[in-house]
Amino acid sequence: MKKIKPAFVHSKRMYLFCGDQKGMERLTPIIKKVMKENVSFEVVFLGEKEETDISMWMRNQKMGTFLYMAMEWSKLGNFKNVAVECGFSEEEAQFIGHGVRMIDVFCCKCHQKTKIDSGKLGNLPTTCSHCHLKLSVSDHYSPLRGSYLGYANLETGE
Amino acid sequence: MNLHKTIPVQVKSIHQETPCVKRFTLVHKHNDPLPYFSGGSHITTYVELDGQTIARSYSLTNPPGQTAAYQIAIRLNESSQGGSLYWHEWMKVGDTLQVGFPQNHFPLSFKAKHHVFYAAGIGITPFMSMMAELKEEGRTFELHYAVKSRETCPFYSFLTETYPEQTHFYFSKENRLTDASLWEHRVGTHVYFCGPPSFIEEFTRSALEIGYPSSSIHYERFTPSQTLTRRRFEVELTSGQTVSVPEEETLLEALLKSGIKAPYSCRAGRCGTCELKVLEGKVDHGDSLLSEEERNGHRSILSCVSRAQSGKIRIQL
Ligand code: FES
Repeated sequence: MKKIKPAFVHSKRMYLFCGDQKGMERLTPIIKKVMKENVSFEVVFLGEKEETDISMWMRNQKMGTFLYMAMEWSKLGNFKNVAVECGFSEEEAQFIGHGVRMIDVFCCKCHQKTKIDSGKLGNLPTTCSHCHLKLSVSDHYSPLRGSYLGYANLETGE
Repeated sequence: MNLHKTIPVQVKSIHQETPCVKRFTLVHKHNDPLPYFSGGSHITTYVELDGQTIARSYSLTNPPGQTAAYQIAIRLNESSQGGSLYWHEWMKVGDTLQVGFPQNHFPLSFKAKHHVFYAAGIGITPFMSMMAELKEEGRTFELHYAVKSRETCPFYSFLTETYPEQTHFYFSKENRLTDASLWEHRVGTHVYFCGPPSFIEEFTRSALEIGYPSSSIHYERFTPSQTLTRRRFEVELTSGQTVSVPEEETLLEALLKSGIKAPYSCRAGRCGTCELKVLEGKVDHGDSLLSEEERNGHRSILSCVSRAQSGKIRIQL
């Protein structure tokens, strides 16, 4: 899986940085840049604040704000949902994950989901944890299912 | 005449909103229901004057979902070339005319968490149906409305009665509308501007400077921005015909005058209906539709607003 690097976005009135220890390390170049440009910014360390506080904090931000969120993949999805719910659009935020990223694979037969390490995407095959069908994981992500689609792995018997 | 289909309508009533603004209620000539429209839609009206058809677009001001009648509000424009003057001076109850199907180039964003409308003068009109739609759906919005005075404010009593909490008036002598409130909107807000081009430009610029993403900024122009230098130029058509466009006319007007059926709709450089292919020559673009890349390519021209940069261009028609 490609690593996403945070990129600086110009001309915002305010920059928000939210992340865990490792995430903040990845955001440091951007924070330095913002400091150098002398623009307003706020930093929130994950773990210091309750999730509800973070959501309150995001909800009260004004237009013209840019949000950087960098944390473990396992937490990122949830926080991203909160940010979007608060009104941050694709153009007003960047989400950067680190660590192991687990993804869901949607079983074509029983329609249940199985978690796999995203690093294994494309490697053959995985087994559906519900119906035990052997699945090959396609690179087709279905936003509807929130998963990658898994198809029956037709072994040739060779 | 436009290539779009039209609907025959009759003027059912005329209401003097303010000394300069009249509101017209139009019904189907045969009492049929009119096509459905959404918040922010407009219609093009076609009136016959001295053997010429004058086409003008006006926002529908009644709540969407009403198909028994359409309402439009028209301000008498001092420099009117027949459009608003005709409506104010000549249009009577019972008169019939043709109107186009409702079109919407100014729809509400479905992504917004909160909608804020900025109107100057008659720029209030598209917001009337948009606010009705939002209220009906229980979504949140506010209106910042700049007008000269209470007496010249269209829909003043309607707004104070229907949206007392949401409406903020700015009467220029008492308190001018500034961009200050743009700094206050919460994340997730979408802003909508409608009024004279200078008003739209100023507010759009402020919003971008504050850091609003352009996808959260929406505006509607009813008149093209007047930044182009108007020089006479010649147009050669693929049919072999040459049309000359004088200073005071647009390319579209010149084509129509020469009896050429050129397509058009908004006449303000924002719908794209009048786009024509350019085969030779450079274009001075006056529209708010083409992308930077398309502009630089000089491969198309919106005949209602844009002109030739050089003395002559060749277009496909
Ligand atoms: S008629 Fe709409 S852009 Fe020209």
